[in-house]
Amino acid sequence: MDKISNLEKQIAYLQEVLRCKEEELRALQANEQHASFCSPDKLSKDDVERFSRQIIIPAIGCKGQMALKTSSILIVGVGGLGCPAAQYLAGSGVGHIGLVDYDEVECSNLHRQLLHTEDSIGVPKVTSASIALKKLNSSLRISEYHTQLNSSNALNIVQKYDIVIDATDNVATRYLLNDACVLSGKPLVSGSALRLEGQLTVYNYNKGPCYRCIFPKPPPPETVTNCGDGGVLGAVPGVVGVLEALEAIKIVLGCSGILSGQLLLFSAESSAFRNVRLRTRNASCDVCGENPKISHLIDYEQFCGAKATDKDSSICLLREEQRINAPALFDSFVSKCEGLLIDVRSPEEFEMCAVPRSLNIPLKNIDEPDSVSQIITALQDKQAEQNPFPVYVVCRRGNDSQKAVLMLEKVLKDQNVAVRDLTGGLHAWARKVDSDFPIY
Amino acid sequence: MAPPQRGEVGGQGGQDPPAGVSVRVLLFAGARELAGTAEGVLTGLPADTDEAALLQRVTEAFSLHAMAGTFILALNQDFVAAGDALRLRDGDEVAVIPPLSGG
Ligand SMILES: [Zn+2]
Repeated sequence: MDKISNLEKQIAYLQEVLRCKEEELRALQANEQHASFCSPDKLSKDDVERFSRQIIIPAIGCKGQMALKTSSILIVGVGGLGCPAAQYLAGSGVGHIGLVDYDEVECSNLHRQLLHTEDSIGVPKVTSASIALKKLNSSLRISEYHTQLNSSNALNIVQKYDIVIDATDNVATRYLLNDACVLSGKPLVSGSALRLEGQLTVYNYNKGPCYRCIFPKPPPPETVTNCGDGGVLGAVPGVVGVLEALEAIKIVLGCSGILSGQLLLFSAESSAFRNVRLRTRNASCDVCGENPKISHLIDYEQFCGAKATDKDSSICLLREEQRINAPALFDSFVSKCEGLLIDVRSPEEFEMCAVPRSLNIPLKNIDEPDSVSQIITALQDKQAEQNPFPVYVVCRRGNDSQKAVLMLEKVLKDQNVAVRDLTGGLHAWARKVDSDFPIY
Repeated sequence: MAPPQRGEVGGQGGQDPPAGVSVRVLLFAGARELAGTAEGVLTGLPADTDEAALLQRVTEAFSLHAMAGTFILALNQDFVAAGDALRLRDGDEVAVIPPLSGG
């Protein structure tokens, strides 16, 4: 054990040394390159050799490549969308990329956020991505913003760039970014993905509509699913993120056919793209209309009634006596074989990992007659043992289980049961009683 | 029930005009979750209708009340704006599109 952690420490140290040396080398090489090809309005020998495959496309040419070299693009969110977008922008020869992300790399990011590696778990995503991008293109200038984009810093950051890419994962930041782009006159390339579908459009471009023109009212938070809860197949944001890079490149090149006033819907399930014509700019839009109500950035978490992250915050619906902690649940259900344990996650999650002998009834089905009779049957087998009989409810993080307790108390009101949920869900279970249980 | 519509030029001449129009409804993102289906059919719609009436039928048929006012409708891949008068034909495609926010 000591040997492993010692080696890990040594490797981390050596990696840090290597990173410094590589940075030093890049700086020296860049200087040298500058000295021999200092003309800012001409492509260098390296540029020509590196980008010839795209320069010879008539729509790009030397002029287009120079436009890319002098362009600056801000990517907000360095996750499933931001990684592929950044990768293709870096590859194409964009001169300056800004990366905004407050978050650090987690193991569950690696299946889709392919700039990050196993080594970078725990490292800020902007740092990890920056290292990977510089390996791809050492002459790329990268600005890292390891911060949450908010109403007080957004305009300052957005103003420094020609184009903004929305690669975020939550509603509040999407409205914030839209308003910041409208107020500072920047085109916003907007992509999103969940499960097996994606959406893509360009807002605030060439008198086209903005996000608020199309969606003036934010969706009720309870109808919004994030990737953590709904899941996402890595290649789906991959497709959308690459398309975001492509639209940004087309804007830099001055191409026609920009996806403004149109919404591209991607379905991985049917391998289909649908292109829906959107409305034109809405004259009465709150931010880009003729008499805008919004002239400075507002409180977007309040506007959307949701946090500006894709992390679930904990809710508190139950009294203390309606809850049980992980060690107490272990003692009762596992050691003493007491009670019934209902797991309210989806069948897919239940199949991934579950507490032995627990019964899977997804939250959305819990008050259906079939589910209720399934529970009552399970109770009848054991109920004589204890009075009232304990019914425990678990979910991933301890939010859905609280909702389930309230519903179960109603549908089981004629049964002599005491329904309680596991505080902190299976995350708490994994941390406190079973370290072999995966935290996802 | 809506009165039978007159067949149009190039329409299905010779057949009895149907009692209403049926359209194919595609549900995306959160609408799919809420409705519990990705696709459905609405029948008996008047051929001459408007945005409000279509929105109401779609909202009711697919139980979308929880997200009322926060999704867009597209008819044959064309945005339907508030107050639009609509002319529906059999087999038209109505898409229900809430914003997707994950990434
Ligand atoms: Zn607008």
